Amino acid sequence: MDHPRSYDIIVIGGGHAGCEAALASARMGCRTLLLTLNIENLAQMSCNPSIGGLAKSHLVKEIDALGGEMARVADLTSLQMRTLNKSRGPAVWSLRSQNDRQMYKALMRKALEEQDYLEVRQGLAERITTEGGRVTGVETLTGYRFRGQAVIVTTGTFLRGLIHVGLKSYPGGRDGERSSEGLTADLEAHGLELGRMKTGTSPRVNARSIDFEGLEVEGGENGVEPFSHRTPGTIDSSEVCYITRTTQKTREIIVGNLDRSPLYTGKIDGVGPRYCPSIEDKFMRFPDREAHQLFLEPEGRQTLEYYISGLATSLPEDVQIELLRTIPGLENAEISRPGYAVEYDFVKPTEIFPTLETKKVGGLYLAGQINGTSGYEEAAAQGIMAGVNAVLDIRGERPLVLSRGEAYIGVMIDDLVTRGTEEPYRMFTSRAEYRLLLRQDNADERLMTYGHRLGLISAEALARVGARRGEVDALISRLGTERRRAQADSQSLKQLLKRPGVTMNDLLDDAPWLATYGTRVRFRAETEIKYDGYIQREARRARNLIDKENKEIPEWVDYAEVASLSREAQEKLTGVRPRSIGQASRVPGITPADVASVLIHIEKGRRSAARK
Amino acid sequence: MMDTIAAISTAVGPGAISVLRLSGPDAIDTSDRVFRGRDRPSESPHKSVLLGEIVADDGSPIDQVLLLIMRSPNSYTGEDLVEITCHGGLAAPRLVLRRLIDEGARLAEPGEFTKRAFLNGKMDLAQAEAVSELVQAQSEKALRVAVRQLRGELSARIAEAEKALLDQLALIEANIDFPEDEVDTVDRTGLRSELGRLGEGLESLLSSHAKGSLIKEGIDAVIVGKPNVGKSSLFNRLVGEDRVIVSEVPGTTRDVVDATIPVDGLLLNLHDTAGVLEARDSIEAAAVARTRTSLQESDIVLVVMDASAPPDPADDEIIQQSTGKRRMIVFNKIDIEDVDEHLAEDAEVRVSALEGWGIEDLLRELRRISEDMVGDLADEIVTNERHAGCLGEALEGVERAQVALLDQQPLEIVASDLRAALLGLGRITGSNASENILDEIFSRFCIGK
Repeated sequence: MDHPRSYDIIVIGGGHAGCEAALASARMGCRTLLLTLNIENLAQMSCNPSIGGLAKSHLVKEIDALGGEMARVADLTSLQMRTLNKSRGPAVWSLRSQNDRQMYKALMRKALEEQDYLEVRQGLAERITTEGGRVTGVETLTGYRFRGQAVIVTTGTFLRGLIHVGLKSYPGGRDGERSSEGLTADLEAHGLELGRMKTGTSPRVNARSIDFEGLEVEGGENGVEPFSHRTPGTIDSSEVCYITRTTQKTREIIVGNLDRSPLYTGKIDGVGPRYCPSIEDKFMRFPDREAHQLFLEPEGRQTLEYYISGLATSLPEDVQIELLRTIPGLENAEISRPGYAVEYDFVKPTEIFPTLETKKVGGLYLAGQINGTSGYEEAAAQGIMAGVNAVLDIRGERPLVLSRGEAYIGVMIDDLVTRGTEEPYRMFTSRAEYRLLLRQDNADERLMTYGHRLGLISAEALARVGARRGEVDALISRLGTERRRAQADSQSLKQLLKRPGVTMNDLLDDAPWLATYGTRVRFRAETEIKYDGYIQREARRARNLIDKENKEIPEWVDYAEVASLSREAQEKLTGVRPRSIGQASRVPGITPADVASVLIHIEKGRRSAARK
Repeated sequence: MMDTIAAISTAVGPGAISVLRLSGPDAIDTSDRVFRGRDRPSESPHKSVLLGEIVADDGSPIDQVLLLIMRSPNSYTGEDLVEITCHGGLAAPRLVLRRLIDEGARLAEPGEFTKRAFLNGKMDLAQAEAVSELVQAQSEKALRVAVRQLRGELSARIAEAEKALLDQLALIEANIDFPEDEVDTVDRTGLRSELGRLGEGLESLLSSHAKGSLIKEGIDAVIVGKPNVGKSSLFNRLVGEDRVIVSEVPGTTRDVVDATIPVDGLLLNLHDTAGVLEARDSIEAAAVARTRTSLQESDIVLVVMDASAPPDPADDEIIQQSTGKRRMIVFNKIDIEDVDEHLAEDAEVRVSALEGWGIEDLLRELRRISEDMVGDLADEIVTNERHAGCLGEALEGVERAQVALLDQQPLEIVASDLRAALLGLGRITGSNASENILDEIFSRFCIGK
């Protein structure tokens, strides 16, 4: 049975990736359908009730600069804001927000429902229909068919999701939610290679059963610059988190019950993230460590639940309660939801192009955990890129592929499609080789022009960024000529600022005119002056990168014909099909010698073509 | 598809034997077609040696040869490779080569066998570069250095430095990326001394580049002195032939004349100069300028003085001009008369260039100084310009990181410097160590808020 209306874009899944994909597509004027298993759980934060953090806040700001929604909703529903890494330099400053889980999904749902050209509908996608290697639409479990020119799949942990608590397991995408069983076979039938991953979550506890007395309080900040350029003013914190630690007793209980852990009995095959290990893993892999830090995070204003961050576990429920009660503050804890592990299918990300379109099926895009990533922000960033590129493709326009030198989004997608991933991929600042260029404070300058060109950023917003840039430049040049009042300095204020330890605030007394510039302008100018040499050096390196990225590998290259490549290198390059020499050189296991062979092969081909 | 290449691999000229190489997918089939012997190359296993002859297409013999069969991938190039040892001289190897080319092989470009070895992953970049140096090595020591580099010893030293850098960087990156986890904090003082040690290692490698070029290019020794003290006679005596016109007219040598002589496994580039003197015309002015340049660029200065003449203030001036150089005073013309004059602090020898007296002493002294400059070859030596450049970058990064630590710069700046250093090292060996940072972090620190 066919749905009477046909769509430009169909998005399967309503998590963080699906929401951004659907919004981007509809805002670009494409008729969009978002198909979700359960409308009540759109934009669900399945794990920590928190947005941002290291490298993730960079992603949130980039999504915002491109015209996405995550930043605005995170600002509106924030319970606590903190800037991490303040002592470590502006490029790695990161904003982290505790959020109201219920409010977050309510506001995101409203944004979707209010959006023109966007329909949200409950249903379980079972099959992707194709014709001649290109998608034609989606068929649901009930046999209902939706026609669409492009389909974006964002299934999160739902593809053949299997939940483990102790040695018991049952199918489910999230605790209390059904899984999607049919789509895997369909994707495989389309020739895509899938793998299996695992992730875990922590138990949640009723606040009335927590003894907060004596726990370390982690407060937030007030007057914080928001994530989104659309959020007016600054944000204050209203809630605090608490810090506690495991004890020797905790260890004994965990070690004594490993035979009941699905992780340690071999019941789970999926590969879990090393950076977010279960508490079982923490004790087993780092036996010298006496205690592990845990954070008690409020879930929202409408509930008394607390999330025990750092205690991801898949041990049985009786062990969970026993081990919780060995932890200071949790001696009488009552669990409202036990922790669990979930295994799910993902598609090997080397199956997709940097546009997030699959190599094997035209018009089929993948975003979020299905590409082997982890994290709300990583998912949302892929969502908006998939939405944008699906629309551009339908319109016959050039795709938007961000480079490693211009955005964390570019680093992430390049890593995924070039190197693939064996464990759930999370963004880290150390993944960005041009970290000093890719700051959260300049995401708008880096990306808003793209957002505007796509029609996702207003002219006014872009103009504001331009005006602020102008102010920063004016301030920098004035600092180059002014000296401290009433001091016989031979050095300009700019030269003073270059000195280690001297900040803009130190100069305020001697140069009161500085106060006429806004704090953001002053901060930006200070950063650019202080790190000028370093920023220039990275900018030079980034330009070299662009040269290599511009060396395209022609379509006719057949790696099987490059005799000097090892069989392994041939297979790897054939699998990834890098678009440029730069990308080829980043394929794991590919040596400079291999790259040289490919270059020689291309050159030979060009010459023999020229002779003909 | 790679073609099959051939070349005469030994120097062309008189000699008992000559070796040709034939490498590529058709190397063995081509050998079958040109070789006549008891065994066929295509039926012979890896590493077999066949005696027979290379025959023309009408079957007439060209030369008696030995064939060494090496099969892919266990050969120098990684391809099927046949080495043909034929008789030396000009004719035989050329006829054999011509025959191979008639049978479809292509004349190899310079360095092409090595290039194939590199492309086939038989050696890393540093090793491939060593081969070209090996082939060009003109002295025994240069050869030894190149061979060690080929064995991958330089690469191993670089890899060691890379690992040490990675260790330090991983701690910094863990601090940056996991501020809410309980990662060991960076001890700035400790890190700085660690980097100091690392920097010293890099510096000693880098300073070996100076040694490296002495070994590779030879040691420059310049002969200076007043006019007519016998500089050219001494030069001729050391070189062993009459390269320079000798006359009693002062200032006969107008240009710098060079010759290279072997001294105990090293090369000594001797430069005879015009006497440093006031120029009387523009030609002499040019000669004087060239002498000065030669003096500045030299590694060793031989100041020649006339032992038969009384001390002359002009000699002092020459000594003045060569201050700071390794220097040796050569009192010449002791056959005429030996005025017993000594100048402190410099090594000195007394010779008669004309009679050949004392020349052995002079050579012994030169050998001592040369050895002293080059040192023993216990340590790795960097001979390649490109390697030196990359090492320089790495060293600069490590040094800048130390300054940044001292200046209390934020850790991301220190990390940026160390990343630049790591990039420099990676360009020598072709490895991309920065991708290993996260692996290092996760294996060392318990991460996971």
